[in-house]
Amino acid sequence: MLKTADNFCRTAVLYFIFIWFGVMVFAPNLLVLLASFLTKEPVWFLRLPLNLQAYRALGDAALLTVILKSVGLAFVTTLFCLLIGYPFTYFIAGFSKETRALFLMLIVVPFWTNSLIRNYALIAVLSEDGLINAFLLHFGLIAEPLKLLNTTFAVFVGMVYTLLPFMILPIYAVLEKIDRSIVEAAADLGAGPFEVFYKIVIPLSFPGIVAGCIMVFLPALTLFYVSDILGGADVNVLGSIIRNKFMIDHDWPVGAAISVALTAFMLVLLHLYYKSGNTVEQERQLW
Amino acid sequence: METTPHPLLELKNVTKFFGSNKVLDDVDLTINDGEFLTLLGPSGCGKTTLLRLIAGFERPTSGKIIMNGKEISHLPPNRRFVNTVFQQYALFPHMTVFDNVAFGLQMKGLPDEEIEIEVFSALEKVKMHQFYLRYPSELSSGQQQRVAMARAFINNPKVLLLDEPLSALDYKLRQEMQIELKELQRDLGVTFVYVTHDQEEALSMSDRVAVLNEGMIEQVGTPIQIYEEPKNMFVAKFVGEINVFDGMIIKVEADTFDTIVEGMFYRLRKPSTFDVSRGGKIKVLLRPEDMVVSKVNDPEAEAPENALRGVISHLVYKGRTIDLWIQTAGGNMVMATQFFNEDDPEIIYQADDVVNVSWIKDWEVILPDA
Repeated sequence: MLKTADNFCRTAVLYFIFIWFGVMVFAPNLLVLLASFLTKEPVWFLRLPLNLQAYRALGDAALLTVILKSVGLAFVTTLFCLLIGYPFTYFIAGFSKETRALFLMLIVVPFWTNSLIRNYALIAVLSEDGLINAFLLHFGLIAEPLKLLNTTFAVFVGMVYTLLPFMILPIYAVLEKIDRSIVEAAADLGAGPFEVFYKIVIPLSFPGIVAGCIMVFLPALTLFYVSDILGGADVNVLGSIIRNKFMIDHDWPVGAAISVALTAFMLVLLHLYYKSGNTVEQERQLW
Repeated sequence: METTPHPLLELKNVTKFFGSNKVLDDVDLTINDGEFLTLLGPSGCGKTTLLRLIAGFERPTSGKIIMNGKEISHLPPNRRFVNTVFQQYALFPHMTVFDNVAFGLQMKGLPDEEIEIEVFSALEKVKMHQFYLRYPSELSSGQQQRVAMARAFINNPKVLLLDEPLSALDYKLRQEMQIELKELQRDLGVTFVYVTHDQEEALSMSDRVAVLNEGMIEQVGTPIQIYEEPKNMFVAKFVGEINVFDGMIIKVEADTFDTIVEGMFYRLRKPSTFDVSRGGKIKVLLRPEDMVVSKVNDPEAEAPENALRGVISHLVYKGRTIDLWIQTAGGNMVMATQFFNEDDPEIIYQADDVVNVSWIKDWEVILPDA
């Protein structure tokens, strides 16, 4: 009897997950895919017939330029998150359990504040009468306030600030799991600190690096509110273009087509990652 | 080791604190070139810390570690001629067996062709050459153990440190590996410092055993010395089973002394390690296999001289031997191991049998009653 109850629960949970995925993930994506093949309509937004008009619009030079800029920004954001996040995580992973927990707390606590509000707070730092300019002016390092706000730089700062924890947490999860005796074994076999780091620690934490990069790169393409708040009208990320296509131009097919292209791009990246045999081997070892 | 031992590694007054916790207390130990030395002790006795100090993973709080006359206490692990086989092997999970074993030589910057020859020769020694393309996760724990051995000794260390390398293996494999390890050590001629809490392992493999307890070395000696001439109660009780009797000295002669044990009179040989004096208290220690047991047919008859009367409380049949627990008249529980004698039908013991217990003369160990 216990067995049947157990089976019923398991079946129920499985069905729930399937239905959830169906309604929340599969159906919306299917609708977006469908929308990308339909035709623009002023009142109802979409109408038949099916066509490839929206995908042709992706070839538009102006749109392509913005997309490339956004990809570039996301790439640089990911790179900086990695360059800041990895050493930081490596540093805290070396501490005792209690200290590590404290550092993790310090990283997670700001998350309890809405990231929108945290980005508004950045205005107070970056604006012409903000903290940075006040500091530089006070010490006479500059004669006139720098224009920091409403620049690509500001968006970049906001992105790195917002997304850094997404780089740190997966890397931390992997670094923490590395057996200390493996690092000691490398030193025992004659590896100096630098060799230990790039022959042992980096390869063993590679799954965390990849996971962190994916978790930073994707949002960095689409976090439109960061570019809205800090970049003004000058900077557009892929996310704001999609938003504009839907909300301002009311061109749903093109908005949907960009979304589909973005999803396809990410799927290709993920596929390449899993295909690389070496990393799959590490995955198997570590997870 | 026929030749005079040449000291390779010397630990002098080594003390180690972790915070306010004293893990090693003024340890002095000399390890000779080519010997198999075992650090034996219960968990938490400091044996692994001692090993980690030699490896260079820890620094002594005070004291010196000297190798071939040069102090190495403050050298990092990668600059000592010492390699370690870790308890859980610590193989690099992202490297094949070949790359694991090659790691040390690559760090030395040897040419690839030379590394290849060396790696295969090392793998052949541990019979793992056909597995060179496998990853550690694809090996059994016994195989991982062999790879860990090869990865360590390929670097020709002056000392090979082994931290309970057999503890993860099942009983039968452990027995086989004990023999293989000992053979490998003879074959390589490398000094082994072996850490274990298993006294059987220590006795069967080592040239010398250092018994540790609470951060201090209790005794260093050959397995025979450790087992047959324990210097103190800790060593006596930790290594093997032992019966302990209390004795009171009543008379001292030139070579012997008279004592009362369990109400019986005994004339025993004077111990060489300490002076006995009249009225002094001693411990008389006896291994179960040194006990002599004989069945009593007439319980009314008096026990013969030098024998204690007792009743078999319970017994454990072990195939080749039988272990008897005998409750003596004096209230002690005595353990006696008897070998079977096919021709002697008398050897059938049962619980509640009345027996006389004595021991083979002069095989007792006398310790002062501290």
